[in-house]
Amino acid sequence: MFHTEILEVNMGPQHPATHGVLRVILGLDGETVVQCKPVIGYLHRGVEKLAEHKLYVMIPPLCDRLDYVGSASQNLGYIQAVEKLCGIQVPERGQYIRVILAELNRISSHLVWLGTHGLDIGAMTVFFYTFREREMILDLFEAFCGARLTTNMFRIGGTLEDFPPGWIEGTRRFVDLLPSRIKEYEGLLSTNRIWLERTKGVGVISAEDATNWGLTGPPLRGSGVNYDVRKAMPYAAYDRFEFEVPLGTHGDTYDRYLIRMEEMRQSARIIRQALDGLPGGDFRGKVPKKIKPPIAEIYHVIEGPRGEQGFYIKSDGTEKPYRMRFKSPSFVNLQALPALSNGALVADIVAIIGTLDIVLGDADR
Amino acid sequence: MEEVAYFCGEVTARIKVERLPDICRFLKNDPRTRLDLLSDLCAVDYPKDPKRFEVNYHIYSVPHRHRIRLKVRVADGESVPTVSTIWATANWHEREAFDLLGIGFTGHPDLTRILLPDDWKGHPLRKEYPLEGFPEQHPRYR
Repeated sequence: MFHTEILEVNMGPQHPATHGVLRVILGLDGETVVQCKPVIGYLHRGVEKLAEHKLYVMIPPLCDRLDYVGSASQNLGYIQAVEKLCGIQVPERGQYIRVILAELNRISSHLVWLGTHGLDIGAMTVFFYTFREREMILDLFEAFCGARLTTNMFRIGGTLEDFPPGWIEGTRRFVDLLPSRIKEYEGLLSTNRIWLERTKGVGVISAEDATNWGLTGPPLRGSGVNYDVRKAMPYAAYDRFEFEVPLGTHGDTYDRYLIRMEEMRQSARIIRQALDGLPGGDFRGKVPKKIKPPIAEIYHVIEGPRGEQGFYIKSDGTEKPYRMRFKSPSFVNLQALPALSNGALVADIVAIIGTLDIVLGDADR
Repeated sequence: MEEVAYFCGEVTARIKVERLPDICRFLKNDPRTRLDLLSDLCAVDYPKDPKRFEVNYHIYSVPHRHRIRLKVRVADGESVPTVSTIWATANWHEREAFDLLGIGFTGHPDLTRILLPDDWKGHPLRKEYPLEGFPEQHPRYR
């Protein structure tokens, strides 16, 4: 630190390392960051206002476009909130299909994170590897519902379709292949000296601070706080499966990297169990023609790829929600950027934004 | 404490707005509740009521695995005491409520617009705000 004049530098809103349209105002003393202020809102589309003017069945496509990398989780959370509100039962097969698709989506989201995070820090090869595997998941989504990114796969009461012929075998092949591919990524990164240098001890946050800043998902678990909605308050069919919640110890970028790698393995494990125990019967239950919930309110949370996704619905007894609120993990996790970048270098900011795994569509809504 | 309600396994407590910081601090620090994670803060507009804004706090306890929803009501022009000193995460949530509904938060360190541009007029999540916005007010943004 030279303690000279503080230089204000604008990073973004259009910058390849900000994963969308994020602006960060940095105050620099030499190369050390002394101030950091994220500015968001460039992708604000007023989804909450739009949802107030739509029927309950018309909202899931809007949810898809919030967090477009993890669209299945967004969809699932919203639909479960409506089901809870109306007391709609979902058949067991529908629940299993939901879990399989949501976990596939988690893997694909983590693969995007790993590829772009590596690209930001300078490890370019991983990007090509992860997008090869992500392509396989997107092909599976396409075979299931026709869409690849904004999938809109779930319906109130169940899912859109049953699995098409050959889909289960294809998924089995993928989850059997995945662990060996994860080993490949780890071979490139886990003991790579440049990777260690860029991630170890960077963006450290203590367990207490992480809870105070409301972090959820891998950034919270990286600090050793054991909170995963799938375990804490199981939804869909998650209480039927065995899986572990990986926890970090140091709360740095490297720990969060290890956690997401392990989460991909655990997701594959869940999918394998769900495919083995896939029950027969209907994939969609009986649903009234008109979705008209009672006058009530609900707050439903699920574990998305980025953390806890919350869905608050206030219903006034009509076919449209009176107030629809999306709590997005990207918004909350991004807020902690200044807390994580205390005393970091400019180049570390890029690593920290990457490790928070934000999607600006989700943050700005 | 004014009223406690249960629905779908969720606990809702309606409290007086001036007691909010004390109650929040108690709920966070007491070993029996330990509500240490502010999961969400959101506001709802009821234009027909004299106290038109309702602010909801969804709080979760990581060690005890339970949740609670706190509710306070304020009229237009009144403000709510900030809880950003209790849970740091409330900072942006309160800015968002200020931006989209126009609710004030006393004691907030930086109460400015967050999602909309600084020169935006009106608060879109209010019920009287039309879905398409006011075109004459915002020719730049169309």
